[in-house]
Order: sequence, then C-alpha cells, then structure tokens
Amino acid sequence: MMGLLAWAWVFTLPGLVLTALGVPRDRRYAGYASLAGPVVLLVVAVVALLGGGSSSVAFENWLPFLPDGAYRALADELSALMLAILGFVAAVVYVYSLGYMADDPGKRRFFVYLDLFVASMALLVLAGNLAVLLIGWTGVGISSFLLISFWRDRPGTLSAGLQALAANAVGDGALLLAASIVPTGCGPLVTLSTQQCAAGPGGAELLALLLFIAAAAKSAQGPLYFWLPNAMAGPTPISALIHAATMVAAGVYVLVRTHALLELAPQVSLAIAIIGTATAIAASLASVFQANFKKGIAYSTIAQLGYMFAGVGVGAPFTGLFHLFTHASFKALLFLAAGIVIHGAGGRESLAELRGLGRFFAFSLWGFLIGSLALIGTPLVTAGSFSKDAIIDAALANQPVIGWILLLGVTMTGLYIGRLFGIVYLAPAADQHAVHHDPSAERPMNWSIVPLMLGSIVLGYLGNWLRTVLSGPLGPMEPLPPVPNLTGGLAFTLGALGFVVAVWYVRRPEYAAAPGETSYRADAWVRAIADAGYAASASLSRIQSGVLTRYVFGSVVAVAAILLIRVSLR
Amino acid sequence: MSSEGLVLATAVGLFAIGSVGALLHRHPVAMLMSIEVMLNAANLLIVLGARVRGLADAESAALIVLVLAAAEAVIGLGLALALFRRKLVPDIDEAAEVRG
Amino acid sequence: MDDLFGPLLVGCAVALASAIGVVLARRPIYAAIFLLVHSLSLAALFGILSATMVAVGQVIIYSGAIVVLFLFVVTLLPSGGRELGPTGSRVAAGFIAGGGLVVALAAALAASSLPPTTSGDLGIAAVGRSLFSTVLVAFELTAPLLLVAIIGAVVIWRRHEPAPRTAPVQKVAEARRVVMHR
Repeated sequence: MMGLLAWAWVFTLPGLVLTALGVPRDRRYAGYASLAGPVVLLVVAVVALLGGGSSSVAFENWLPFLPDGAYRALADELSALMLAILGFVAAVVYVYSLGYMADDPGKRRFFVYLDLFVASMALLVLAGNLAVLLIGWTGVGISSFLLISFWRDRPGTLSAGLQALAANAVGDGALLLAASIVPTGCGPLVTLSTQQCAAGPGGAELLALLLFIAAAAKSAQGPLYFWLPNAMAGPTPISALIHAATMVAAGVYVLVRTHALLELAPQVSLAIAIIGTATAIAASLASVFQANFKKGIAYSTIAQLGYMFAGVGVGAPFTGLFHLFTHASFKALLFLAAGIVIHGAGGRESLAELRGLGRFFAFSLWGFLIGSLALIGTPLVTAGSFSKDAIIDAALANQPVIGWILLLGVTMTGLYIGRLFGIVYLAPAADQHAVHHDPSAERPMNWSIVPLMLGSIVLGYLGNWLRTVLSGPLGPMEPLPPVPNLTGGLAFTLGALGFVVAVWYVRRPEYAAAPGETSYRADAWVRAIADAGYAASASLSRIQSGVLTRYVFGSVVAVAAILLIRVSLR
Repeated sequence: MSSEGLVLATAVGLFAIGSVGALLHRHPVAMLMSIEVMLNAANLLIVLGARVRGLADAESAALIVLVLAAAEAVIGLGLALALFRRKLVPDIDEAAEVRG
Repeated sequence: MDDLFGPLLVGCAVALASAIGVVLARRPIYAAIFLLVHSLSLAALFGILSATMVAVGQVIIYSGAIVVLFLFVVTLLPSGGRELGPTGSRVAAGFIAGGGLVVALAAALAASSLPPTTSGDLGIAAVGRSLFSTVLVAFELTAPLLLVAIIGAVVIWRRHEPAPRTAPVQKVAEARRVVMHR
C-alpha cells in the first residue's frame, strides 16, 4: 500500500479534471465529482500507516540543471501520517463546502482549486528531495493565493492573496537557494544530515537556516506572520483546511523531516525554539485584541504553530508533529464551527455584529466548545492536552526558560479563546432575526464537523502508538509524559483560568468587542526608525533614473570590473 | 596569431564596439542595432567554441541564440515604435518617465 | 585550422569594419545597411568555421528577417531619419566603458587559453540529431518564446492606440436613419 501511497498526489487529479469540465451538469451538484479524492487519500493513507514500511520512487536526471535533479518520492510512516491528516481534514472540508458554498456562483472553481491544493500538498509531503519539495511548495502557495482571493468582487481579497504570495516568495527563495547549494550526489531529503550533504557551502548551519526560513514563511512565524490574519479574507472552509490544518503545517513537517540536519546545527535549533516561543506569545496577545472572529482564530493558529516550532527547536520533533496532528483536528473544528455562525449571519465576521448569535447554532456551539477545551488542553477529555503537555515537558527538560514561558502562555490561550467563545456564544442573546437558517446548507456543515469533534477528543490517545509507528523515520524518541501529570495539570489550570476570566469579562453588557480609539501615540524612536528607513530607500531609489544610457554604462562598467576582479584573483 | 586567436580577438572586439555603440547612439533603433552587434559577437564566440571542441551541441545552442535574437528584436522594435508614437525627438534619454 | 587563416582574416576585417560602421553611422538607415553587411560577414565566418547550419541560419533568419525588420522599422519612423549626434558626455562614457571592457576582456583572454582544436562533426545532420536529443527542451521552448514575443509586440503596440470613438459612429447611424425614413 505504501507503493500506492507514493503516488497519492494523483488522487485528486481526476476529480479536478471532472469538476473543471463541469461533469455533474446540475449546478447544485457541482463539486461532487471531487469528493472521492480526499476520501481515497484518507483510506489509502490510513491503511498504509497501519501497514508500515516505506516505498520510494525515483526518476533520475529529471531536472538536469540542479545538483540533485532527480524526481524522488518517499512514502513512509511520516508521510502516511501527514497524508492521513490531509485526507481527513480535506474530506471534512469538502463536505462542509458543499453546504457553505452552496449559493456561490464560483462553486465549481472553488472545488477545482481545492483539488489543486490537495494534490500539491500531497506532493509536498511525498517529496523525496528538495527539487520535488519545491514543486509541491510552490503549488500550495499558488492554490493558497487562488483560494484566498477567491471572491473577486470583495475589496481586499486580492491584496490579502498577494500578501500571502509575498511571504511565500521569501520562503520559496530560501528553499530554492537550499536546493541549489546542496552538493551533487546528495540524493534524498532524508540524507541531508549526512556528512556529504552537509558539506556544501555554509555547511549544515546554512542549510538548516534556509530550511527554517522557508518553514517560517509557510507557517507564519516571526516577522513572516503578517499574511495569515489577512488570509482570512478567503472562504472559511479554506481557512480551516489550508491556514489551520495543512499548509501552514508544511513548515513544521519539513523541519521534522529534516530533524537530523537540525541536530547538526544547534544554534539554528535554538533560534527556531526562541522564535517559535516569541511568536506564540505575541500572537496569543494579539488575538485578545482582535475585532474580527476569524482573525482571532487565525492568531491562535500562529500561536499554536509557534508551540510546534518550539517543540522542534528544543530537540523533540515528535512532540511538534504530535501537536500538529491534534491541532489539525481542533483548529479546523474551531474554524468550521465559526463558519456556521458566519454563514448564518449572512457573511458578517466582526465580533460586534456576531455577539450572541452563536447560541442559535447548536452544532456550532458544541463544536467550538470542544475545540476550545482542546486548545487549552483539557486533560483526558481532549486531544490538545496530550500534545501540548509533550511540548512543554520536552521544553522544560531541554530549555527550561522556554518551557516556563510556554507554560505561562497557556493562560493567554485560555484568555483569547474564552473571549471568542464568550462573545459569540455565551453573550446575552441578540436579535433572533439577525440570523437566517438554511437547513439544506446547514446539514452538510453541521454533520461534517462531527468527525472533527470526535477527533479532537480521541486523537490524543494515539500518542504512544504514533511514537512507535514513527520510530522508523524519526529515530528513537523520548517517551511521552504519562497522563495525567503535574505540568499538564498546571497548564490546564492556567488555561481554564484564562478561559473563565475571559468569559466572565465579555459577558458584561458594557464590553465592546471592537477595540476603540487608543490614546497610544507611536513613540519618537519608532518614528525615527521609520523615517530613517524611508530616507535610505529614497536615496537608493535615485539610482532608478530611467535614463537608459546610464543603465547601459553601469552594466558595461560592472561587467568589466567583475572580469578584472576575477582575473586578478586567479 | 593562430586562427582561433584571430576569431577570438574579433569576437571580443565586436563586443566592445557594440557596447560603445549602445552608449553613443541616441536613436532607440540605432541603439538596438548596436546591441544586436554584441549579440552576434557572443554567437561568434559560441560557434568558435563549437569548432574548437567539435561539438554539435554547441552549434545547436548557437542556433537557439539566433532564435532568441529574433524574439528580442521583435520586442525591442515594438518598444521603440511605441516610444515614437509619443515623442518626436528620437532620443532615448527623453523616455526616462514613460508610463504603461 | 591554420589553412583557413586567410579567409578568416578577410571575414573578420569585414565584420569589424561594418560593426564600426553601425556604431558611427549618422543616420539609422545607414546603420541598418551596415548591420546587414555585418551579419552577412558573420555568416561567412560561420561557414568558414564549418558550422554550416548556423551559417545558413544567419543568412536566412538574421540577415533575411531580423535586419529586414530593422530596415522596415527605420523607414517607417516619423523622425525623418536624422539622428542627433552624441553629446560630449556620451562620447566620454563610451570611451571609458568601451575601453574598460576591452582591457578587461583582453586580460581575461590573456589569463586563459583555448584547448587544442579537436575535429568533430558539425554538419547539419549532427546538429539535427543534437537538437532533437540533448538540446530538446531548449529547442521546444523556442516555440512559446516566439509566441510570447509576437503577442508581446502586439500588446505593446495596442496599449498606445487612441481610445475608440463612439460618438461619430452614432451620428452617422442617426443620419442614415433620417435618410432612410424620408
């Protein structure tokens, strides 16, 4: 079955072609042809995961201009797990979209883009070397852009899509650079840590750094976070699929896949941990002040990805992967539950307008509640606790400062998700007529999130089994902390505290969901930095005079100079 | 001087002459012609390399460069003509602020 | 290859002279004629170097199409064919850049050496074989390249078309209607 899985990226392509050609002629059933793809993917991936083993495909000399230009695909337990996650969340999102996008004129285009995304993501996960990884990487970037800017008539969607592309371009550039400095004959991705492969220019550190930059761009970490909150301009189902469960997880996946390389570069690992933690805290803080429902959840995604990065950075890649696994389930659940309310309120997303409307949607309320409990790590009941505990434990063992920061940060997690839950679902009931119920659309939406609810509860128990299964690709790992344990209990207490405080705070009638005018004026030094940057770029831009002759002169003189330098250095 | 050296020197000289022409001419089309001279010089070098190494692959590369020159001439002349639609003074430096 | 020195010398001389002609010509039309001579001389050089396919290509594609295109454009230009002479700063820039380039290239040439000439099959059949095997991707990509160039040229031209006029057409239609009703 692993052999079949190595070609998993082909699975959604028939659906793509059929939907693009308009195969279910009836517009109401547009997109049904694409449903089979993710389901097949899920089934094959789960069977392959249970079976174990690995399979690889290689076509040599496929891209002769790169040092390692072969087409390599590797299907092992790790890729099977990622594909199972992808298939699971994608199948749920496809069914959900049948309801959410039911009245949308661009429904067919939507499913075609979704198929393109799933195929690219599968190719990314199955990539056996950097060249193929790059193809999958750009593929998900393009589909992400197409889906973010899906609604062309709404303002701001194109700009959001372009921002995603811009951040992606940084990551693509880093990955391309990595692909070109890897020495010839290095072979598959998994051998990047070997002596031969890490011996290229800059050594293992440079390679690890480039991979980290690429991962950070994809997973919205550090300064490259900006595109993810704006990506909420796209339809909610893709916020759930791409920007919560799968594409943003690609960064974590790449770091886990190349964890052996990261072990050779301890400073880069530390940087990963620090930036992950800083992003987690900053994003959690930002989420508390959001006025838009989806953006609040988006900042939560950034924060949780920060936790995963921290897990990888402290030398416990399995914990990061485990959290990816559980997070996919409950974050998609949170988004889709939010989408039910947003759809019912006619597309409105601001918290001020959605106040109290959640209580009219029972499935959404329970889904969001389960998702929130999983996010703050309710022990035994939800999956998030197992994985978050694992990360915090590993961090406390290896980098105690980071561990304590992560532990205390769970308070803010509870705070922001409690705020969101409180405003939308528990606030005093608003006008019933502000929502409209559409049973035919809501049925697929409501029932599609039930598997996610179950997943958010149950998937955590698979931790030890996963540890055994993944011992092949990931090597020997630290044992997972026993459940329940002290740090887990402490984390949950802090999170629950934050949750309860937030809920109490927002239920008060005088609470305004939209942050008002602040009296904060940018300090003089901030302004000075901005002015300095502007002056520097203005002076540099005078080189672009537009006078062609000057450009030619510059080019010729530069060529001559380079030649002379090269000759004299020989 | 050997024959190869002669051709090599010619190619280098042609390239330098072309670059001087690109700087001297103010007329856009004349400037383009000087750039074509530079391209031809590079092509001459490729063909010389093919002859010295005895490789047919290099010769086909020279053929492809020829096709490239054709594409480049098309676009370049299109641009020059588009410039002329606006300005009557045939000076390439006047076009420093062209939009669109 | 030294037995070809004589013909090569003639060819190189003509190429250099015509290139200088392109650079120094006062009118674009003269420069175009010099370019034609230049490209034909290069075709001769290619032929002497026994690269027959490229020589024929140079005659047909370059001299026969590209330079003719240049000639057409030059004759269609509304500027009257006169070119403004180079200003002093341009001449100075030309000499600096050109001189620097010559020095750099000469230094690079002096520091390197050509490998000994090995004879190989540069005939048309060999070129055909290599075009369809080793260089296949580049060869196939020239087709979209040309297509893009054509489309690009059309797009560049059409962007500067004056806006379509609708009012006069309506007036003509109204006038015609009035005439028909009478």
